[in-house]
Amino acid sequence: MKKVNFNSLENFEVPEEWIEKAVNAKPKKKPILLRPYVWGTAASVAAVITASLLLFNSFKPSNVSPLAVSTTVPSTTVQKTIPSTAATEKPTEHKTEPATEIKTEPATGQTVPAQTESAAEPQHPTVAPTDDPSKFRIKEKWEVDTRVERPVASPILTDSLLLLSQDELFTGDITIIVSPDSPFYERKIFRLAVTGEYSSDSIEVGGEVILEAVQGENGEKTVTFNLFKEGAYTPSADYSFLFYNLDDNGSKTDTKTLTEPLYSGNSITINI
Amino acid sequence: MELFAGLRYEEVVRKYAQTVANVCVMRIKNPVDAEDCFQDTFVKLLTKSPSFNDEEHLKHWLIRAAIHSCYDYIKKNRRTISLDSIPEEPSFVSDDAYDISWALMKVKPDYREILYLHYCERYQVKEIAEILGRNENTVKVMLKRGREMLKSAYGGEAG
Repeated sequence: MKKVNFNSLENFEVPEEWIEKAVNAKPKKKPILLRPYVWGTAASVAAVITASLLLFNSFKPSNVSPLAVSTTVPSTTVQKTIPSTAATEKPTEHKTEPATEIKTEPATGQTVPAQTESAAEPQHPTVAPTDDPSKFRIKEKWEVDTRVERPVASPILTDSLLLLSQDELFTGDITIIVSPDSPFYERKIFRLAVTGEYSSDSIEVGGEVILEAVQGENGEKTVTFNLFKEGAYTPSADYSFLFYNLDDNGSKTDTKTLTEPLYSGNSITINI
Repeated sequence: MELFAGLRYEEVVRKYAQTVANVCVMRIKNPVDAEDCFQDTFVKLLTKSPSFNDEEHLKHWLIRAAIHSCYDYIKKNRRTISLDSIPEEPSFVSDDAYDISWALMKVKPDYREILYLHYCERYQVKEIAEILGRNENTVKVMLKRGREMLKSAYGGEAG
């Protein structure tokens, strides 16, 4: 049996050109996308940008209606100009409110809502989509109203409320007729609290209204106002109207509660 | 000029060309394809330029790099190389009856590698285990089986 010589494998001689080629070889450059530090840098930059955006967004003004921000009920104040004979009476409360500053005009018999004059086109939060800049103006307007010192029933305002279209809001007129035998008849300026529950989210919305009635021809006093035009947020629902007077101590007297459906553009008349 | 275990790159290439070439031919069988692996091994050395403790370390590294280059080459060309295209006997092998190369080529690649490192490069079992990243006992067993395979292929006695 033959003995194997393993050294005979070395018979394969490396060609000189292999060696020359290897000697003249140049180091390979890795493609830029395969370099780990490139990916690391890109990931770091992306992380920093994301973190910055998140931080920036967290400082951005919230999209939530002032009802959600404020702990007080926004107050919608409606003023009516009245004949000069009634112009001297001023409400004892809410002295800081613009609504208490009654405009006096000569007895023209014409009634003009004071706020409608100052804001020809009221801003309304409900019709504003999330990117509508007008919502910020609305917010400011409502914040001004938070000066009313009255606790809110439920300040939570969800997105579903915010995204309501104009059709889903009550935009009609409310006419209040005060008969001579009403406990409110003697007062020229009286108050009412309007509260309603928005059915889909069981959220209470509402506000306080200060009204000044106008003496009618048949002995009644009337006042017509429009919550929508005043910038009040009233999704279509059944609303409770709480009429009351205030005594010298600021306590409510002569309270009277009525429930009325406020839907879309339907106007309603309330007799008290 | 960069030094590898005290040697210039050109010196490394000239000194270890034979070893690297043998490892590549042993694995690939075809000298034309083996050249690619041979060149790739030295390009790796240039590109990675690792630091070596001594020449032995450098040699180990080159053998390992050559083996990996061969793996990569086979993997990359698995779908394009037909087994039928591989010659039964390597083309570089002479007709010398005592040349065992052709018999070695008939042994499975893993065993072939170990046989080569042990008998041609004169590495001990422990060193082979280090180079190939295998267990010492595994290398011992594979060396024994490889010898038997070689014997049956060659019909001779491994010495």
